[in-house]
Amino acid sequence: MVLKKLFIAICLITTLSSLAQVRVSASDRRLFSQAKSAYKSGQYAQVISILNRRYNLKDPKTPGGALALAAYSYEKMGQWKNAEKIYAYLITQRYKGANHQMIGAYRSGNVEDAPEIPNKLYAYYHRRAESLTQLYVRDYYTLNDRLRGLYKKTALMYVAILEESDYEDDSYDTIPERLEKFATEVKSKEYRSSWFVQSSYVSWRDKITIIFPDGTKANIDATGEGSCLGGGWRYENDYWEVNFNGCYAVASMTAGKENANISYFQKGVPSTAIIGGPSFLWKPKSKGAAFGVQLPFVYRSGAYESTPGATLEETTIFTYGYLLQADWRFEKWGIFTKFGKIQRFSSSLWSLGAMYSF
Amino acid sequence: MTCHYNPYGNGPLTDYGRALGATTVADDSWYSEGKSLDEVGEKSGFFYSKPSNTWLRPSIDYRGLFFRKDIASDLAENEIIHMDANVNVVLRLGPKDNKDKFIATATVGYAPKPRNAQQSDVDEFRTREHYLGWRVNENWGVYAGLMDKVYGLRIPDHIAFSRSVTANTMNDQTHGLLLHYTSPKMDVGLQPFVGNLGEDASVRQKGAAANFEYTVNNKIRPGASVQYGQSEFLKAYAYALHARLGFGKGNSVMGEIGQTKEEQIQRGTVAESRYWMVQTHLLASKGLFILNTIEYLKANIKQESKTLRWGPGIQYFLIQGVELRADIYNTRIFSDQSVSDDVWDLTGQVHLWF
Repeated sequence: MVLKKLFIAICLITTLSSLAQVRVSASDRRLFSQAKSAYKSGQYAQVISILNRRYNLKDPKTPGGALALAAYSYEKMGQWKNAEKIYAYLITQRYKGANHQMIGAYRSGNVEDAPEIPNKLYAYYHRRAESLTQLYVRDYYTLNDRLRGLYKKTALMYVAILEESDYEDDSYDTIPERLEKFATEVKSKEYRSSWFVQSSYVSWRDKITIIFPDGTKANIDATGEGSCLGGGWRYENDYWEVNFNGCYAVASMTAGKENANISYFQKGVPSTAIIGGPSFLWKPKSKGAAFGVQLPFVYRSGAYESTPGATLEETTIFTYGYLLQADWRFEKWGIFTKFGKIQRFSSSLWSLGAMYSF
Repeated sequence: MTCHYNPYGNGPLTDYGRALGATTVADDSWYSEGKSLDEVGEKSGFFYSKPSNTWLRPSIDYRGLFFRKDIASDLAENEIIHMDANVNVVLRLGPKDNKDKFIATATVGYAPKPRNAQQSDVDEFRTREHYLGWRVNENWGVYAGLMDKVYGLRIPDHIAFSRSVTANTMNDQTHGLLLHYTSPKMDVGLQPFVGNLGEDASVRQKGAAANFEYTVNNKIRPGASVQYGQSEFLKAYAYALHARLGFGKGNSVMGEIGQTKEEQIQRGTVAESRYWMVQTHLLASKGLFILNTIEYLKANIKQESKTLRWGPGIQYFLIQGVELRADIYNTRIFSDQSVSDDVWDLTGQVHLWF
């Protein structure tokens, strides 16, 4: 920041000196002095207003010093497009020959051997690179691909030229870093999709109903565990993810109830379930780990056997639930946990598994 | 450079550990406005002060628990347990440029009687750690005194099966010698021990523990541990494989799978148990973690019965020195003899260290 201020001050002084060499009227000098004072006191809109009173800033005949001061003011006001246009004009028109020579050297890969160009042209290269970078970052999502490419390429071209020069303000160094960082940010926000397979340990607590010959009913709880194989499709960026996943579970249940009215016990009951639904996940610190909920539908069937004379209900059910889900992922491999409630189950459902993304 | 004076964690924090805790672990949005990280780190000493000398590092530590067991039961009651309240002193006796080269540390404080020994005459004031340490060079360290055993993953949950069935829970420290080797690629700890000299000689476990961890890269660290101890009554073996995995920024998954064997010498009985544990951390925002502790225990590997416990929770480092934590523990018993209801417990913890 200090360097930038110093640079602008030097440019101002140089501009003023160059202005002094031009034959200007006393009123022009007074007006420029006013504009300079306004710039120094941070009244950048006032600078433009003052200059506009005397000059047409779009007119090629306008003195370079006035144009440069206007461009600096536009920069300060964040009007990068206006600033960039002026720098482009100054570079391509006021330093036509030197610029042509330098750009030619750059394109043929001979910047090192190119003849020295005026320091002011280097300064305009720097300022234009900065303006283009600002525009690229600010307007990225409204620019078309051609302009995005052009802005970035031009800014980097000027940086490459400045790197081979003796130009002293090295704050242009940050331009490639900022463009790179911005590209990473853009990429992190872009949504992408992928398929994945998953395998997990799963456990749940079931509930079935037994109906005795006299019509009385009793609930019987069952505890079980097994494995669940499946997969899904995800749509995600580095901060959010929606996925649709499901798996087919094969479990072994132990069911039982023992009290004065009922004595029921059955172990190793084969039970299957299809568990699937959408997951909505938040990645708090971008990639790596995600946390959220899954809203699964569950079709569960158990081969429970009834006691003589009685019948069983709810051995096959279709239901739904809500699970807290957390994922931890390397590039392809990941680990996940799920924990929550399935309606009509007597307690929680757990799942701990691994996944592989394609 | 370690966060605790004990290279395997636990006990008093080093200056580096305190500064790291204040600047990178705790939520500093409450108090660090306008302060640089350097300032916050510097004032992470005793009661948020900048250490006034280089040789003495006092600290105090408290951990309290709100516990509601079997919350679904009509008989559920709330309980407050002061799990420990300690005064810690560390003397840094090394040369000027490496004060931690020689250290002497002691921790003394209140420790409640264990829940399974309420009628015993166990003293409620005890020292859980006191030892001398010598970092011979950047690779080797030697420690002698009362310490935790270097077995498995040292997680703070003392009720974890991985700690309780391997005799590495809150009062299982032992006097011994710890040899520690560290390098960017690995950590190796070997600890011959003679039992806690404060206990009756007949129950002191004498043996050794060893822990090895290999750094595959900065996100993957597998390892293995073994432990053997013998008293007049009991021979105990434990061995485990473990791993720590990092995911992105501040997220981790740790896992341990192990087995134990206990021989009751006088009765001639042998019992073998198997356990595994997975503990996950997910960084939600600075200082705030969503965690989950999943545990498995087969108390007798020859029987079908086993217990699984699922423990989701949140952990919040409000500021440096203040940790709040809440967990739900859903315990499920698998048996081929009967069916039990799930048990749901709720805990809330306050951990203060100044």
